[in-house]
Order: sequence, then C-alpha cells, then structure tokens
Amino acid sequence: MNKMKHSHISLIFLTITLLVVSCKKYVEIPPPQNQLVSELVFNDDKTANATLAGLYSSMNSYNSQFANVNASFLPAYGSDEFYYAYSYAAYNEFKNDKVTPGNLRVSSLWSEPYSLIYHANAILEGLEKSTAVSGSAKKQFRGEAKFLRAFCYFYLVNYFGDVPLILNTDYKVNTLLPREKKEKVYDAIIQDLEDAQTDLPDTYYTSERIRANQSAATALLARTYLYTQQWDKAEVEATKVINDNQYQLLTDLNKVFLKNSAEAILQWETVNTSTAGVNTWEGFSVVPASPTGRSYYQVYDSFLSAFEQGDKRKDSWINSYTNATGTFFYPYKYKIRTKAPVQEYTMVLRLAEQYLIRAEARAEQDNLSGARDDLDTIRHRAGLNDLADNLSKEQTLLAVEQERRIELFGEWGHRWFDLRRTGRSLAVLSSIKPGITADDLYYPIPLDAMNTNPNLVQNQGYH
Amino acid sequence: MQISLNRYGKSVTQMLKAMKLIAIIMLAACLQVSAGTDAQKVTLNFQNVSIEKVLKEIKKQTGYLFLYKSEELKKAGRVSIHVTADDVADAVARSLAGTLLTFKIVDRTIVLKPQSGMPAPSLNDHSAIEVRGRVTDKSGVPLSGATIRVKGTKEGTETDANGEFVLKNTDNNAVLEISFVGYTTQNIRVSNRSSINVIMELAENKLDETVIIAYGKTSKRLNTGSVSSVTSETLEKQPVSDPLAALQGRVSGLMITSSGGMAGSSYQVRVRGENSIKQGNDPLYIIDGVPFISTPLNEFEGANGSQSPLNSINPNDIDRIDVLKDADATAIYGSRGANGVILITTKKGKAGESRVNFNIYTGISKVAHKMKMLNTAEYLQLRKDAFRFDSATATADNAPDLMVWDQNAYTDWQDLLIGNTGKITSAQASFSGGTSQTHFLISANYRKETSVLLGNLAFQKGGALLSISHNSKNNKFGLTATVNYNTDDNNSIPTDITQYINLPPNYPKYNPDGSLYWFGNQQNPLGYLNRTYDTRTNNLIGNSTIHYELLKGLDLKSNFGYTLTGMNQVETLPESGFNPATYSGSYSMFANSSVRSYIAEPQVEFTTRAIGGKLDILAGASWQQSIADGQYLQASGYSSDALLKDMSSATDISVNNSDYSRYNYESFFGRVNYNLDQKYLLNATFRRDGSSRFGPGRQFGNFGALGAAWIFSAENFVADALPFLSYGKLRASYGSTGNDQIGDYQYLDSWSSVSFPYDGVSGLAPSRVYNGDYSWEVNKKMEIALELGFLKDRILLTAGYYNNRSSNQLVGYSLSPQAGFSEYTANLPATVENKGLEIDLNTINVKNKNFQWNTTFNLSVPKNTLLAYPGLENSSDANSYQIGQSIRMIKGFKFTGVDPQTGIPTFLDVNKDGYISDPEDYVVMGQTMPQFFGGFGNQFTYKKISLDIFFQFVKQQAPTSDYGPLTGTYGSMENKETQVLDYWKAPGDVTSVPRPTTTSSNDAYSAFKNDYVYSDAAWGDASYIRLKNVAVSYDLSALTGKWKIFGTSIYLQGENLFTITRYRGLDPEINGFDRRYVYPVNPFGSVKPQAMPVLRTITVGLKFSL
Repeated sequence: MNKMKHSHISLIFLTITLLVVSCKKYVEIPPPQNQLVSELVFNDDKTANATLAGLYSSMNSYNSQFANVNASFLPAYGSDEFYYAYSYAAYNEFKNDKVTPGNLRVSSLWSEPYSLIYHANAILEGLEKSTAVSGSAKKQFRGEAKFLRAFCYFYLVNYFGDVPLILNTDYKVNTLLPREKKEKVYDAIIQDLEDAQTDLPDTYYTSERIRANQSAATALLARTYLYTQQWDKAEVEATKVINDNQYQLLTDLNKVFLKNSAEAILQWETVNTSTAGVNTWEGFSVVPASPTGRSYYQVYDSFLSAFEQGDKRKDSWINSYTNATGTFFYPYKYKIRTKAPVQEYTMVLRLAEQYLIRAEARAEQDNLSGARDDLDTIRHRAGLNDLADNLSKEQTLLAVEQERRIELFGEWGHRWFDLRRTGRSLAVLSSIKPGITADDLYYPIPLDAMNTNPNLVQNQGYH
Repeated sequence: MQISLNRYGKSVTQMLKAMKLIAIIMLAACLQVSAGTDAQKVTLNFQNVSIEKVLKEIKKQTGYLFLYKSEELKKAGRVSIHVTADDVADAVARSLAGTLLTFKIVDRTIVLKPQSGMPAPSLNDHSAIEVRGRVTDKSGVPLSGATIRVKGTKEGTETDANGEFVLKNTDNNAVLEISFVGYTTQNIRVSNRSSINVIMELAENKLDETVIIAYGKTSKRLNTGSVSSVTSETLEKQPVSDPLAALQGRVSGLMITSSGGMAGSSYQVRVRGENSIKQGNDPLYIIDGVPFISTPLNEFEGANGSQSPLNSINPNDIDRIDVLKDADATAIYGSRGANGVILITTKKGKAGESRVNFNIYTGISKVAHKMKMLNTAEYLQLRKDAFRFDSATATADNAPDLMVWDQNAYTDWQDLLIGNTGKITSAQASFSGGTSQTHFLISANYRKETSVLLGNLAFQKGGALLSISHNSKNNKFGLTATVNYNTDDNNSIPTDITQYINLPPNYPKYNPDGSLYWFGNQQNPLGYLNRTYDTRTNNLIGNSTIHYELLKGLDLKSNFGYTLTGMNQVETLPESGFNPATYSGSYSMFANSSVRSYIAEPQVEFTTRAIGGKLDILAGASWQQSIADGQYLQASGYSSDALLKDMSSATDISVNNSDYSRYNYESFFGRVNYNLDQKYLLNATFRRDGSSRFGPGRQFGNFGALGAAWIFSAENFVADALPFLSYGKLRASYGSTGNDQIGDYQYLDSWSSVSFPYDGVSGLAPSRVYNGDYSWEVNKKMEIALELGFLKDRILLTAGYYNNRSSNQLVGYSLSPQAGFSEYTANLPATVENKGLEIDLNTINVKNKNFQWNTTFNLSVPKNTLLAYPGLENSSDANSYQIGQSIRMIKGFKFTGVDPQTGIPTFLDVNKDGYISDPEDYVVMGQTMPQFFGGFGNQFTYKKISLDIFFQFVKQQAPTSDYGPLTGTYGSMENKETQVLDYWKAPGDVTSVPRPTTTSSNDAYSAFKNDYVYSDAAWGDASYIRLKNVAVSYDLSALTGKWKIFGTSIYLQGENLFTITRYRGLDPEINGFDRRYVYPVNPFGSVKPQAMPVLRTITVGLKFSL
C-alpha cells in the first residue's frame, strides 16, 4: 500500500467524488411511489372517477363516522328514539341533550363533513381546470361532487345552525372564515342540488344504487325545500321522485334495507373488508353478537308505545331480548351484524321519505286530502288503516309528525330535526330530558374548531 | 538598561561584563537562602505554576539553596512539569526548560541567571542546528499532526503522517513544546541534539482529554464550542439497554424523558429546549460519522409504544458520547444542527497485547412506586354517594359494581397487572488487540429482559461490533472500518395494561366457570394478555474512513457509511382476547418497515503555520440518501386462532398502509481553525445544505458560525494576579443552524389511495394541500461561557449562558377543521427564544494513594419564550400560544375551590361573564418543559472498592392522575386515589375535593368533566429527585492475577432506586402527556392514560479479561 503512488489514490478519491456528484440535481427527487401529484389526477376519465370513488369510500370506511352511525344514532339518543344502554360519557351527553364542546363525537360531526367538502371542492376545481377529462364524464363527476357537497352542508347546517360556507380549496382563507347565516348555506345547498339535477342522468353510474343520480339530487332538494318551508317546491320535487318508476315501496318491511332495494334512492356500499362480515355499521352496532344476546341499544319506552296497534313496523323494525331483569327492545331495521356475502347497505335516501315530504308540503298548502293520501300510502304498507278524513290542518301535520317518527326512526336524525323545525322539541322531549332548553337544539361548535379559528362564535348556551 | 534577547548574542562581550556586575548586585540585593536535606530523585508535578513554586519544591525535596532575583523569576513565566528527575541538576534543567533562565550549581547552591546574558556553563554555546524528531504514543504508534512549537518564538511545525518533524535553523538550546490532542503537553530542551524522539502520555488532566467534534477532535482546553461528553466509564456503570437512559441527568442542557418503563420504550431528547413550535425538536444523532435515523420504525404501536431506535445500540460498545450544543459546535451540521448533535463513537481496538474481555450481569427490576387507591369499601361508598347526590338510581346497567358484583371482592390491580418482577441477564465478550499498524476489536453482546407485566414476556437483544483499522508502513495511508450489527426481539402485548389500574376494585376478573368476565362491551384487561405483539428489529451500521496524506499538512479523507434498519411486527388478536360482544373475527396485523441510507463525505484538511500560530483548514462535501418504506397489512378469516401468525392462512388480507419516502441531502462545508500560542483560538464554520424536503428553488440554505476562545490563564499577568487559578478560558460563539425535520414531499399536493375501493374502483383522496412556498427554519445561537480550573485543575467549573433564537418557523400550520385539512407546511414568522444557564462542576475532593473522591454536578436552567408571532390573534393558533410564554405552556381553568353548599367545584371567571368557558377563562397553568434540571454524582474509590452514586433532579410541572378527558368523575365507575376520600359529603363541608357524581345531567358532573379535569386542580408539581444510579465494584485483579485473569471485578449496580416527589401519579417522569406527540397547549390530543413507570433495577455482575 505504501508503494501506491499519489496519483492512484488521488484518482480513487476523484472517482468516488465524481460518482456522487454526477447526479447533477441530487436534491431534486421524483415524486413518491405511493402518491399521485394533482396534475396527473385529472388527466383522464378513469383517474378522475377514482377521486369520486375515494370520496364515497371515505364516507363509510369505518365505524362511527359522521356519514354512518354518528349521523343516525347521536340525534336519536337526543330525541325520543333510542339510546346507548350502557354508560358511556360521550353518548350520555347526547342522550341528555347536554353536549359539551369537548365531546369527540360532536367533533366528528363537524370535522368529517368539512373534510369531505374539501375533497368535493378539490374534485370540482380539478375538473374545472382539466382539459383531458371528457365532457360527459365531467358532467357526471361534477354532479356527484356537488350532490355530496350539498349533502354535507345539509347536515352541518342542521347540527350547528350557521356554519362557515366553504366552496373552494383555498385553505389559507377558509381556515379562518366565520359562520355564514343558515339561509345562505341553504341557498348554496339548493344551488348545488339544482346543478346536480342538471348534470346527472337518472340512471345509476353502475348497476348498484350507490352513487348519486338525478333522483338523489331531487330527493335531497325536496327535503331542503321542506326544511326551508318552500312547500310548493318541496311538493314538486318529491313528486318527481314518487313518479319515477325506478322506485317502489316494498311491501315486505324486512327487505327495505337490503342492498339495492327498490325503495333505495341512494345507499352507501359496504367497503371495509378488514372487519370481517360487516354489512352496515349501523347493523354491526345494534344487532347483538349472539342471536340470543342483548343489544347495546335500547328504544325509549315512549317510542315503543308510539306505535299504533297492528303496526307491522313494530314487529319488523324493532327486536327484543328478554332475561331475568326484563325485556329490552332495540332498533332492528338493519338485521345483520356480520354475514358474508353482504346483503345490507346503509340507506341514505329512500322513497318513503318523499311521500312524507309531500304529505307535509301538501298539508302546509292546505291540500289536506292530498296529504292524507300520501300518509295513507305509507300507513297501508305498515298494515294500518286510512287516517280519518276529517282531520284539521294541525291534526294532519301532527299525523305527518307521527308517521315520520315511526317510519324514519334511527335514520339520519330525522326526528331530532323535525321536532326542531316544527318548534315542538321542548314540548315533546321535556318529559324524558329534564333540563332541556332551546339552546340545546343545536350542538355546540366543537372545541377543536373553536380553538383553531378565532372567528368562530359559539352557539348560544354553550360555554 | 536593556538586555538583548538575541539568541546569537555570544559576541556581545560588553554586555556580558555588565551582566556579571548585575548578577553580583542581584545576589547581594535579594539573596534567598534556605537549607535542607539531601535527596537523590526529584518528583515534580505542576500544572501552570510559577517557577518560584517549582524551585521551592525542589528545595524542599533536595535541600539545595537557590540564588535568584525575584523579578527575573517573574519574567520567566509559568511552567507545567510532570517529571521524576534523576538528580537535582536534571530537575532544575527541566524546570527551567522553556524559560529564559539558566543555572549554575556551586556547591549546594544553585545560581539562576538570565540565559541570554550568561550562557549556562553546563551547555554549549548557542548555534542554529537542524532538529529532526518523531512523536509517538506509548505503544509506538506515530502521532500525525502533533504540534511542535519552539518556545519563546513564532517558529513551529507539525508532524507528518509518520509522526516525524523537521525544524531547521533552531537554537541548539531551544525548548520545544510538543502538544497533541488528548495527550499531555511536553516541553523538551533540544540540548544540542539533532534527533529527538518524543513519547506522548495520554492526558490525565480532564482538560486535555480528547473531545470528539464535528469532522474532527479537539480537547476541552482548546475547544471554542460547547460540548459535553459522557464516556464509557459512566455508561458501563448503568445496567440499561438504551444508551439514552444512561445519559439522563448526566449532561447539562440535555433533557431526556422516558415515554414509558417498558423495554424498548422511546425517549424524548431535547438539547437546550425546544426551538421548533410544531416540527421535530430531536437532535441529530451521528454514530461513527454516519447519521442515524432516530425516528421509530413502527407501523403500529405495542405496549411499549414506538420502539426507540437507539435501543438497538449496545451501550457497552460505545466509547463515548459527545453532545454538541452551541453554534460553534453544530453549525457545520447546517440544516440539521438546530436541535443539537449527539455524536456516538464506538469502541476501537488499541495496539497492545490481545485480550478477551468478559462482562456478565444479572438482576431484577420492579415497578418502584404504586399509587394508593381506594379499597373496595371506600370505593363503593364513593359510588353510592355519587348516586345519592345525583338523585339517580343505581341499576345493573349503570352500576354493576354496586348491584351485581361481589361487594367484598378486592383486586389490587396494580399488583396484578404490573406487579411482576422482571429479570435481566446480560453478557458481553470482546476480543481486541493489534500492532502499531493494525488494530482490531470484535465484540458480541446479548441481553434478555423479562417484563413486570402479568404474563411471561421478554425483550431480547444481541449483536456484534467489528472494528478494524490499518495504517500503511509510512503511515500516509490509513483505513478504518466498523460494522455494528444488532438485533432485538420484543415479545410483548399490544396494549400497555397499566392504564387499567383504576378498574373498580371489585371488578370480577373471571366468571365462576373460570372464563374471563366481561361487562357490557368493555374490555377485561386480562383479555389483552391473550393478544400478542412481537417485533424484531435489525440494525446494521457500516462505516469506513480512509485517509491519505498527499503532502505534508495536506490530508485527503473520506467517510463512507451505510445503515440498514428494519423492523418486523406481528400482532395477533385471537378470539380469546375479545369481549365476545365486540368480537367480529380474529385477525392479525403484519408490518415490515425499513430505512436504508448511505453517506459519502470526501474532505480535504490542510494544516500549516501562519502568523506564528497553527492554522487548520477543512473543506468537505456530503451526499446522503435515505429511503424509507413500509407496509402494514391486516389479515383475517383464519380457520384457527393457532394460525394467526401465518399470513397465508388468512382468507382476507387488506393493506392498511404503504409508505415510501426518499430523502436526498447534499452539502458543502468548511472550517477554519486558528490557534495562536495555545492562548487565542478562533474557529469559523460554514455549511451550504440542499435538501429534497423543500420544493424547487427552495432547496438550498447557508449556515455558519464563528467561535472564539481566550485562555486567559496562559497570560502572565493573569497567572501572577490569580495564582490559585490553574485554568481559565473565556469563549463565545455565534452562528446560525437550521432545522429540516418535516416529512418528505411536503411541498407536493397529492392524492393517495384510500383504504377501500368503492363501486369496484380504487379511490383517491387528497392527501396534502399544495404549498411549495416554504424553506428552512433558522436557529441563531449565541453562547458565552467561562471555564475555570482551580487547585491544579482539581476543581473545574464551566458556566455558560446561551441565547438561541429560532425563526422562520417551519410548521405544520394548523388549520381549523373547516378547512378540510388539519395542517399545511409553511414558514411561520414567529420567533422562539431558548435561553439559559448551564453549570458544570467537576471536583477531585480527595486524592491520595488509597482514597479518591470525585464529585460532579451539573445544572441547567432553561427558559423558553415565544418572542414574536405576527398575526397570532387572527390565526388558528390564537388560543394555543401567547407572546411572552413558553411555546409549551399549558392553559386551563383556575380552580377556586369547592362550593361548601353544593360540593360543586368553582373556577375563576376571568372575563366575568358569569360562565366558565374556554378559552376565555383559561389561565396559564404552567408548561411541559422543566424549569431546571441536572445531576449530582459522587465517586469514591478506596483501595479496591469503588462506589458511584448519582442523583438526577428535575423541577417541573405536569398533569396529575386526574387530568384530561379520559378521567372519570369522582364517583364514576373507576377507582381513584385515596386523596379523593376527602370529598364533599354534606352542605357546609369545606374541602377541595368536589362531590362525587356519576350521571351526566347535573351541574356537578359537567363542572367536573368540562372544567375540573382541565384546571389546575388536576395539574401540579411533578418535580423529583431520583437516585438514578448506584454502582459498587470490587477489584479482584490482585487475586485472579496469578491465574492470568486480569481486570477482574465484581459489581453491584442499581438504577432508579428511589424517587423523592410530591407528584400524584405513578411516575413524575412519565406523566400524563404523551411526549411522543409534540403538540402543546391544547392538551386534549396529547393526554394519555397511566403508563408503565420507569423501573427500579438492581443487578450484580462480573468483569474479567484473559
């Protein structure tokens, strides 16, 4: 080694150095293997379609997300439908209508829709900029993204009242936006749904009813008009869906919540394969693990007694478990805890609601017989008799309330929202919710949202 | 009258005559005579003292008298001398070496004279000669780069690769000062010799021991920067698995906090506080020149959390750890130096006889402290009172503990779950040796540690270190190669069941039939023991350095390194581990992750003399690449739980995560070091860094620092004025460093695959927002320090003040949830200041033949302040940070006591609006960073016994066991500590413990859940003093020497023996915040349940060599 010449060793050093330096742009690295840079996403129809699939998938990937269990169960605890039978602090707060801003479930009801809204906004902006995605695909995806954005806002505005209205991905601005008046948010929802109606065909994207079509937009629009007391428009939109032959009320109540049931306007596909056998997260939660076991959930006694004699829905949609201490009743619309292959999907929009929307809209417009017809359609299926034909407007509206309560229980917070928009919450709930006040009817803005946006003002009554 | 100092002044006879005259007057004027006995040998041991002192000692030892003039002696300056001289003439000659004095022995009197005036009669006349020499260490290994200085002149040179030097035209009577880092400086008189061989002795003085710094080494004496070191001597006294554990309390400015007491648990390591508001604050680890990835590899966590990667390094293979703190020391690491640098140097072979060393120990560990919990009767009474006060009815559903379970059953959950005794066994063997050209070291280690958890779990690790170095015969070419491989195997469970110690004391463990009892959908902690969590980690660090001396003083070096770290994880969740109510099928999880990185760092170093001093210039470049990837799979659908570890037996496999990231890093760096007379030191460093973590156009940044030191004790006027001062140095540094601890690719906006396909299509979701507009975080560091040595350096004191300002904060800027994303990466125009005082004291209290007592003490008083944050009020951080407060402040309600009428806790209504609400009514309760911390150690050696006692102390606050959203009310279905017994029981009771409550629809409940758990009632002092380490050893070498067994000792070591604290909880170190998650202030995200405390460990061991 000591005989080695200077030049040899210098050469070794030089070679090594050059080898490394030769990668000229050493610190400019290619994009990672597991991510796709935005420009490439809207480069063709197929990848653009994947962004929609991603959005739907994100809604229903896991248990207790906003768009599955949380949306349907939390408001049910707070109204007079059912509750979590064991003690769990976060649920108890909902049950007692004393939700605290630090409740992690209320945080999910706020953060998750906004995260989905960002996703929808990113799709809309990507499509807008893209020249590579074909015209028809663009319309389809734009319509779906707008529908889903409207869908998220519908729940936000009903959980929290005024909410920040975010319609683009400019996160630096959006993060600090203050709350927008409810009316403005409803205007945006209506705009999106009207656009979606225009963009979307009435056929489904594939053979399953798991992606929004025109009727889905129409159905949600009908509901939005009902909530904003635009009775005539609500009636018009609901009628469109009712008259659509794709949708039929099923006579067998046990089959309503099966996947792609004729009554379904929109359902979420079951996507999570890591929890074996799950059909719907709702079913996974309420149905006891063993056929003879007890559910964690229990319906209120008052709800049980609200069923009229002979209502087949009580038999089909409520189940019970008896042991030494008593008999316990639990919601049973979804009947499967785990079973393969998947038979049930989470129901998002269904035809029965459209009849009830039209009934209410008609009653409000003093078309009482028309209202009764729609209510009777629903009652017949449940094995009940026609309503008396001498009901006053108030009585008819109460009949609508009663029918909605029984038909739609455990679905998407209908009861909680209905009582509030008809101003009946306190009158109906006070007996089982001591201490409930008008302030409790909107949830508090979650603590993490308050802490990160100084421009948010907390709802009245929360501190 | 002037005396010429011309070395060639032999012809100035006139002058000589005058000098003789003066000499006579001198003698007459100040004759100092003393007498004593005769002596043959003279032993002198002085460091930087006046000549007078040395002469007095010679007089004392020999009885010779001295004649001299005081002023002349004063002019002679100070000397350092460590010799055993053969006779008095030799002793005096050596003492005067380097001074301008010479002497003559007349009878038993020694007459001192100025050299130039009157040449010493015992030596030849002055003449210029060429001196050649060779400098080696004791084993004959040449020391390249040693400095040869001709004292009293500006002449000097350095040795070449072969340790050789040539000094032309040197006074034949000159004194040469030979110095080399890590060795005691020697003074040698040429005495007309043309060839001088110098054998250097390893430094005994702490100041001259080697300190490893970036791309080189120095000594504490000559260092311009702030570096603290811990050597193998200290590491070996601690029976720990992770080298980080051995550093706790040992180094000023370094705060190391454990995240849990289980084997392999990670540590939070902070050098001088936290600079980055939201990004990483981890120091840079460099092992033998190769950056070490300190981020845990876990894809999912087990009971020990994420595993500390440093746990893979065997502490016994480490020679020393150097912690680099200030700008001077860290700026050369540029963008990664902001949070300090920890250099780990592994052991190397040494020239000498081949030796095989063994070190074996065994011991036990236990949880050292238990909380005092309520017994069954107390607990049940609390529960009953809760129902009574709430006017609620206990039912089988909401109160099985009152209605269903045995009212007399009692389980001490702490005893049951974490009360086992862990056993530790460790064995280490090494073989080392070498010649002057080649050294080697081979070492192997094994360690097994069983858990204190219920069950039979163990953490095993083992590995090998191979180090070899070779120099060519002419020493111009040299090569070092080190390979360090370690593997560990952690058999554990997925969950730290310590969190279940607050189960009701009468909670049934089993059903009457012996099967596990389940309540509702709750998990019985014993069920978790049926789950398994195994990780296997492999860690390979290979490194090679080659160097070649191209020309004298010009060295080419290159450092190459490769690391490969991998982790395999398998977790099984069989049916038996589930509450049947939640069981939906057994499944298992598999993960593989790895990081591989390489580094190449060519360097050129040039050393020369310039303007009378030594100039050292280093220039280099660095290329690094790290590629990390990982997969995390979940498998289900097994036909039998016995097959859960076999992925191919699963019918359904889904990918939970798939990671990939690449990090490229390119740098150019340089350093200029100038040393004038070992007195004035200047050090300038520069680095230009490019990192792939930044977007196009933002990748490069420049960093640099200037450090200077003045060894004022080497100045004559200081030496004269402060004779008790043996060492004094003032140093200061200023510079900038950077931080790039953000993830990779943060500048790209991208879409990632979602977990599950929808409608047959694999979906995409936005995974990051676009933001290419951010760059380096900059930390400007300033330090000024005073280093002092007293009583021949037996007392060494370092006091430093630092002020670091971190700006251009690189943050995951928090977005409010409505933005749709939780954060984006950006530079925040905020400034964070970390300043503080650090004191290190080392003393040798007693030192004699049989007994030595040393003390070490270190204290750090850090202060962290957010100085500026433009636009804070309107940002999403408005409620999280406050100007003038620590960035790790914690806010909460101010507890104002319990209302004696209602038993409901009350709080300060800061804004007086009549409601207690956050954040308006929050006050600053404290911070998660300590106020001060340090260590205090004493080391005693008496004959063959040595004893080390080391205390660690920390002054801090922390959340107590009642803090945070996971805490149930007093009266909820969870057990509490006995302090709770003082709860409010009836109107009029004055107490600070609120009334029990269990149902949510009442004011007591909401006050507790909303306010109490976030108030200073659940926050408090978590200071502690811990007897961190005791090591006793007894040297048996004398006994075993006759059987040719050497270095034998038996020892007893203890770790975490006891802790003095007022903290309410299991362990003040591992308190309620999960330090793995950095986020401060709004505490909700980072609170954790009770975790395994650090364990008390006692071991006994044996060491010997063959």
